[in-house]
Amino acid sequence: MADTPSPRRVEFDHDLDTWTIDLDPPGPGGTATLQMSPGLRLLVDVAEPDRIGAILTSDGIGDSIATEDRAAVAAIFGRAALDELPTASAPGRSRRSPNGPEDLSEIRDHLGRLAIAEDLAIETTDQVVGAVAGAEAALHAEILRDNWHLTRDRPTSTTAAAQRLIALHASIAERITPDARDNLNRLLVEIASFTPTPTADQLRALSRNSEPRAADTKAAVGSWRPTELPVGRLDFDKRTDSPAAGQIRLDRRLFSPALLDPAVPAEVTWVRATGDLIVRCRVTRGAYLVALASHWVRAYRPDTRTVLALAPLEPIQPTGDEQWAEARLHIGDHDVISLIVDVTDAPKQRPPSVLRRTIEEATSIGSNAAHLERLTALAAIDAWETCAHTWHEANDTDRQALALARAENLALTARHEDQAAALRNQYANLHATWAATRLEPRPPAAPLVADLLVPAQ
Amino acid sequence: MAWSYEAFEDWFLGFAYSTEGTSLVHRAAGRLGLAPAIADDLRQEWVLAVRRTVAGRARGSDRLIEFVDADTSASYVTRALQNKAIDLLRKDRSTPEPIDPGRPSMAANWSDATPHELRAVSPSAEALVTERDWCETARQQITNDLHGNVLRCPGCPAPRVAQIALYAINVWCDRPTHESLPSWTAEIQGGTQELDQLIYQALLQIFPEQVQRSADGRLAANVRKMKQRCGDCVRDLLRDIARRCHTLTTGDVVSDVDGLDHG
Repeated sequence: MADTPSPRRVEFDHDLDTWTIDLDPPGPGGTATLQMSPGLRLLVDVAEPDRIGAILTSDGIGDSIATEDRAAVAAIFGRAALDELPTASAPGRSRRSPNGPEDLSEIRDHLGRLAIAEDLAIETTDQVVGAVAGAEAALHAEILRDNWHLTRDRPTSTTAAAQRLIALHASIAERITPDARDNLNRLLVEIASFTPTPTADQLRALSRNSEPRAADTKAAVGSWRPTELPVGRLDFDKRTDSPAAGQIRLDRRLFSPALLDPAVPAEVTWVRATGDLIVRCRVTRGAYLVALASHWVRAYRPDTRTVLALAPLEPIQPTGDEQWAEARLHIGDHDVISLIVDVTDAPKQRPPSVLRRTIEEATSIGSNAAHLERLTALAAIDAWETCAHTWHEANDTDRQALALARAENLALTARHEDQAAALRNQYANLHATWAATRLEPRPPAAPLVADLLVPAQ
Repeated sequence: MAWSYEAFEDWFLGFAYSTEGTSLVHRAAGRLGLAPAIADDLRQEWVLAVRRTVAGRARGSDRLIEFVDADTSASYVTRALQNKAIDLLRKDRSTPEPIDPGRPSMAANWSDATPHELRAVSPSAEALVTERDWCETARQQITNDLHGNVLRCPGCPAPRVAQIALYAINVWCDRPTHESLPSWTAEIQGGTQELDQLIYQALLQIFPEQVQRSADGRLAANVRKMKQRCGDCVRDLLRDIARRCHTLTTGDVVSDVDGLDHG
């Protein structure tokens, strides 16, 4: 379908020395990114994948933008966007064709889905979900590579990305059962057969038709669900002097997944008699154990980030096929009520603040809510409400309002008028600034193939 | 001419914490709709990411990096700042980079004082400084030193020094008032004062595998060496911490180190 491109917001930020195009703040589900080239990074709103912004930096030659990046800008944002950018060279400008309508929707749709699939492929701890998401990303990259028709300057970085993702797709064969692989390939072929690109309704229909097979796939390869434990938080019950939880989820950004298994929560034992907190983490299969010495467990107060104790992780006797590492922290028996435990390879760095952790949590919940929204409206309503509550804790009124508006929209879709009214009342009085013009949510995005492997809740 | 890693780091740390750097951090956060309160976290993650990356490059190229001047470096670190700002609004990603092993440390510059010694010197502190306050202030000071990259030890990484010091503080703060340390600590030669005994207890608990005894039950020579080496280091740190705690909680600057020693 052809559309008349709306005017693009092309701005230069003198402080940060970069050009931006349509750069809106990411919504409550955060952002997925595509590094198209060293100078061009795309930001895709996870909850609204058609909301795409760009950050452009110069190629180091004067203030110019690389020819390849200009070509990508023309294809994604329209040729008019180039008028605001500095030219790389005379030939670059001469190639532009200012006439005729542009159809940006196809490329933007593939880009949005590529970004989300690629992020899912990287972030998930489930190898199969990761492989499937990688395959879907490869599919979109491949389509982009073939249909990058709006410019004669085809960005070679897209080709490289496609090749990388296609290689990832190839690795699926080693990870899932033949039946599941056949099912996945069939889904991918069906999606690829849509011309020019599958619509949300088409994909939903495909999802429904594939449900039994998707369930088979899930049963064959195991399920993946969003992690539920708060990161690192350990609360003590002073009546029993015991932590309320025996497990904690670790902040994956702080340690190497090549050494510790990020999918497995750390196990915590509180030994009151000695004042010791024993933290055990499962070691990644095949890890080089000597390198564990670079990883430290630390316990600190959530509010002041004062470290109470820290100790390096050390491997312990294997149990069966599993290898674990352990650290013993002496925190005594003083006035500990609540603390954060994490594992880090940078113990000299301050732990993240409460605000930082709250933003992480809100973004993670929002990302999961976006996933649920792609599958089914009902389940996503609660998730967006939880997301809104967490953004409220982060004092972010804009994203709180956006999350509530998404929940309201889904409630209306499900014909839950009373619930929708209640949700609207919640955000009607919030003072949103940049989000005020975005409170009418766009329709839910079509599901990814990888979404089918994640159980709906 | 390329910069050395040290030259770059000196420039970068100065830049990151300058007024200009602070303004940039706020700008990068604000552009993504993030509150100014997140600026400290963003700057910290930015500094860590840049230092890790540049240190990694420096290791592979004879400690020389391609930045030739402040302008070139500013372009690089500004881009890194934008990336870190975007990462604030991305779901968990685990992309750790090799940790910087750190440069050779400078000699320690620590002075003297312990909680009990402090009280002996300054009776007024007894009223002002509760034990719990002192403990928390001491932990906060060690935390600040660790994260401020000012903990130095010629033999151990800084986190190890912090580990031992915090262990000693926790043991001291956790024990019932007026109760002496376990009797077994008395056998440790050279540990005649409470502070020494605390440190030695921490060392023996943290490095139990190194506690070997001779046929007559005495601690082996290597243990005594470890006690001396690590003990000196941690003792000096704790004395410095105690002096700072005294200043922080009473407002008095302790300058008479000898007086504290013999107070």
